Amino acid sequence: MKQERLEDEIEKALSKEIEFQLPDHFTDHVMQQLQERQTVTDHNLPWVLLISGLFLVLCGIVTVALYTELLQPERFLSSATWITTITLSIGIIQYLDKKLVKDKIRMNQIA
Amino acid sequence: MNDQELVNRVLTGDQHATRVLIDQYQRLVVHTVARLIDHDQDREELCQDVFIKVFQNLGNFKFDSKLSTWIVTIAYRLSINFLKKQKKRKSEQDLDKVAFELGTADSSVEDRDFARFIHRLIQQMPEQYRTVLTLYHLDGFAYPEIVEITGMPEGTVKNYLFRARKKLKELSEPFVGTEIHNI
Repeated sequence: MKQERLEDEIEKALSKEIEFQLPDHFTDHVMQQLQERQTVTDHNLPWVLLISGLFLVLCGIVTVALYTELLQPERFLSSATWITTITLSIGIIQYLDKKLVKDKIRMNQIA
Repeated sequence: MNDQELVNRVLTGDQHATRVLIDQYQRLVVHTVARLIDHDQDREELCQDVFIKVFQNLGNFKFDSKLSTWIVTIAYRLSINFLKKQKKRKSEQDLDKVAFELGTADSSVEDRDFARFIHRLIQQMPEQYRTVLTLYHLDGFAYPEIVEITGMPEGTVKNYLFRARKKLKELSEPFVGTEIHNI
């Protein structure tokens, strides 16, 4: 009898709510976070488009350059220089963009 | 509003539906997170992360399972990852080797709440036992759903449930006198 009662009491205890409650403003806070992340995504969009555009242009330039090199090997040095310059520029843009987005997220978290 | 309708409305940017989803599944997320994480601040932050992840991935949810199962799976995985990162996973994963702190007889009498006593014991169990007990008893998930959430085989889930309940019985038995509520 005592055993059965103990089992019942354990069952009842197991189905009792955990003593932890989220604050009342929890839903508002999540909504705010979602909106801020959306803002960051929106902010990022022009950069993504710009970088994608530059990447396509670079692909075109490389194709033309390779074609030219095949015909005129003496122009190799000059074309290699500006291809490297463009690649580096894109790298720097991507780095700055990521840094800006990260800073924005961090600022939102602090706020 | 059923889950499919709710998800579709959230995906179209309906703010009211987003609020409804958070309110509707908050309890489940809290249970899963609070059972695994000890500190209130960590719990709150993790619950937020769970919902952010839910909304970020909602477009990929194909209703292969219930929405509740999917959300709890995210909550469970984020909690386990948090514990791994914090290196707060209990080193002892074998239930029989856990040294349970039962409290002194005096403090137990003062407590006067059997449910609290049981919850305190559960918090000392390895994570997988805590999770299956909560999912099965508190949230009412069936074995296949617990399998999906935790990734454990069904036999293991059943075994953990059986052993955890047996352990709770063993540990609480000596404290039970004529009146069980006096623990």
